[in-house]
Parts: sequence; structure tokens; C-alpha cells
Amino acid sequence: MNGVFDLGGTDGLGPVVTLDNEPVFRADWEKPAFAMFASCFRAGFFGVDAFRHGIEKMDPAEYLLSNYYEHWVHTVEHYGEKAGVIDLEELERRTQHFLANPDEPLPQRSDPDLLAFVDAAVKHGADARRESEKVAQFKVGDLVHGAIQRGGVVGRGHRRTERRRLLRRVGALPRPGTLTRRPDQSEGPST
Amino acid sequence: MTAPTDTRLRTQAEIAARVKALESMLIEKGVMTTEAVDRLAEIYENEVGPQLGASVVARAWTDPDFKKRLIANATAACAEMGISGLQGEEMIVLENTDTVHNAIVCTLCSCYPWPVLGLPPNWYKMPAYRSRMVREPRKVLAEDFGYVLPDSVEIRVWDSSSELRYWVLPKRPEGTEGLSETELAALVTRDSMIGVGPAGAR
Repeated sequence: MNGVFDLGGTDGLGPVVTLDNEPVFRADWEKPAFAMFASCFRAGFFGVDAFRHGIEKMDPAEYLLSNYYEHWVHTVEHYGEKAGVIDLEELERRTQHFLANPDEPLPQRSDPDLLAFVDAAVKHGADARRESEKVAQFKVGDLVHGAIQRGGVVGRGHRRTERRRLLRRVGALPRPGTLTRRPDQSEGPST
Repeated sequence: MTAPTDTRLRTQAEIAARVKALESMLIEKGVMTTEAVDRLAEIYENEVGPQLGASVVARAWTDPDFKKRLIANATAACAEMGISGLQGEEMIVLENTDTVHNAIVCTLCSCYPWPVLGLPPNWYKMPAYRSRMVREPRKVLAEDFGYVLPDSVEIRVWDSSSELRYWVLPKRPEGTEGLSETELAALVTRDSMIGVGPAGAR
């Protein structure tokens, strides 16, 4: 997908704003938004590429201006609806309810398997490398430019028009979609 | 503040309510729990952060064989130190020298080597850094980070993907010959491993 998120080389977006001693999570809502990635991955909503694609489908203006973890909320809503887990009208109704009753507690449930999954996923992750019989088209030192393959080492927006020297080859990594996890798998992320 | 668009942006209260609503539904559907939220926050607030990358850098500065292994296969070398995992399944470490300075970016989103640096700072994920770092890195380093590199030093910017995460082995600061590995690790900043600052600064 070719969209506003592909920011490399775009001019006019202003200075980098850094903050000393920035907390890891800048607001309490960022914690559940962050935790939705691992939890919904486990539930089979998306793989890593699909997750990012859901973000890329956001309204472009909102994408540029919203808080980072709002992007994650968008993709969780998108795939939650597709998975038949999230009804968007019900979500809106509950949103209004929590807006009026911000201190109302969340439902409580215990899931030791999910906790074990969290620790295992953080420690071991999910390797994306694949064996490939394809012959590399370029060698280190070659001049290359865009349109080779999306999401790879070359081919992003800032290289669409500029020729760059290839510094390093890293081998075969999956095409989008191959990291998708099936909902019937229960132990650890698939590779 | 009015945004320069008709797109309606949410207030913090509206975002919080939206996330809480979504969380409540995901809890009821058996997808998540508040204890998993607390555990994940605990991990990335207190356990997995740039102190891990700093320990790897300090080892590389003091153990030439380890440094060779780190440059050859960062993922395996980090695993030797018990450092591995999510969003760092495949890592490449780039060594800064007197003639080459490396820096990392993710132009498409926010890819970053979590096992060694933790979660990225907000500026790393925002449009300004992602757009400009690949176009005018020398200027961004000097003007936005106050890090001026001599013109004789080549700057290489590495664009991470979700499958492959780069990070930087900064130069060991001058005058640190007598320091222990632990003392050296304290000199290694997060920014020096992103490539937007030197080690030993602070």
C-alpha cells in the first residue's frame, strides 16, 4: 500500500520534538492499548504485517495528528470487527458510557495461559526468517532504486526516486501475510 | 487548539473512554485481561529497556571476541547474555567508527529493537523524525539533537522493518580505559544506540 504513512523523505513536517525523562507510557490508556497487540495477536486477529496494514488504512489526516497508540486502537477495532468479536455500535455505546462514568471498573477475569503467553512471547518473539530458493538480484555495492519489493530493505518511499548504494544483504524475509496466526493455535506465536 | 483539518481528533478523555470500552469487550470475549495489561506494562517499564542494550555494548567494548560475534550475528550474541525476544527476533548491530556513523529509523511506522532498547521514545514514532532522518540526517542530528558530526564522517541511516531491527554500537568514549564493564554500561545512552547522540554524553 502506498500511503501517507510512508513518510521517508517527506518535507515540511517540522522539527523533532524530544522530551527528557519521558515515561514509557504517557497516559494510563496507553497500557491497555499496548497490551492489545499481544493479546489480539494470540486470539488470531492479525499477524504483524496485517496489524500494520490496519494502521495504514486510517484516515490520513488523523494518522498524522493522532497519538501513536491510537493507531494501535484503530487496527484492533478494524480486525476485531472482522473477527466478529467487536460490534462497532456496541463499542460506541460503551464508549459513551465510560465517558460519562470514567471510574467504573472493568470486568475482571483471570487467564493464567494468557499471562504465560505474554512472558513467553516477550522472551522468545516470533522469528520471521524463511528459507528461500530465490537468487539475490543485487550484490553489496550495486546502485539500486525503488519498486523492488514493498517493505523490504529497498523500495520505500524515500527510495522511489533516489538511487542508493546497497550496503548490506540480509536474505529472505516473509511477504506480507505469512506471519498470520491461526486462531486454533494455542501455544506461542507461530513462525 | 484547532487542527488544520476537518478530521475530528479525540480528546484524552475520549481516547481513554474508547480504549476502556474496547478493553471491556475484549475481556468479556476472553481475548485479554487486566492482569495481562499490568504484566506487559511492568515488563516494559521495569525489565526490558535500554539498560540491556547498554550491557551488550559494554561487553563489546571490553571483549573483542564478543564484539566480533555481535557484529556477525547480533541476535545470537545477545542471546548469549540472555537478551532476546519480541520485536528483536532478527537484529543487526552497526558499528560506529572514526569514519562512519550509523543511525536507525523506521520510515513506515515504529520498528525498533525492543529486547535491547525497550519501547521507542515518542519522537521516534512521530512523522518529523521518520520523514527527515532519511533526507537530511546530518542536519537532524545537529539541529534537533545537538549532535554535530564532522563532515569527514559518513552518516548511514538504516530503515528497520518489522522483521529486521537495526541498532547501533556507539564508539567507546575517550579516556575510559580503566573502567569496568558495569561502569562503561552506565555511559551508554539509549540515544547513542539509536545513533542520535554519542555514548558518554549526559
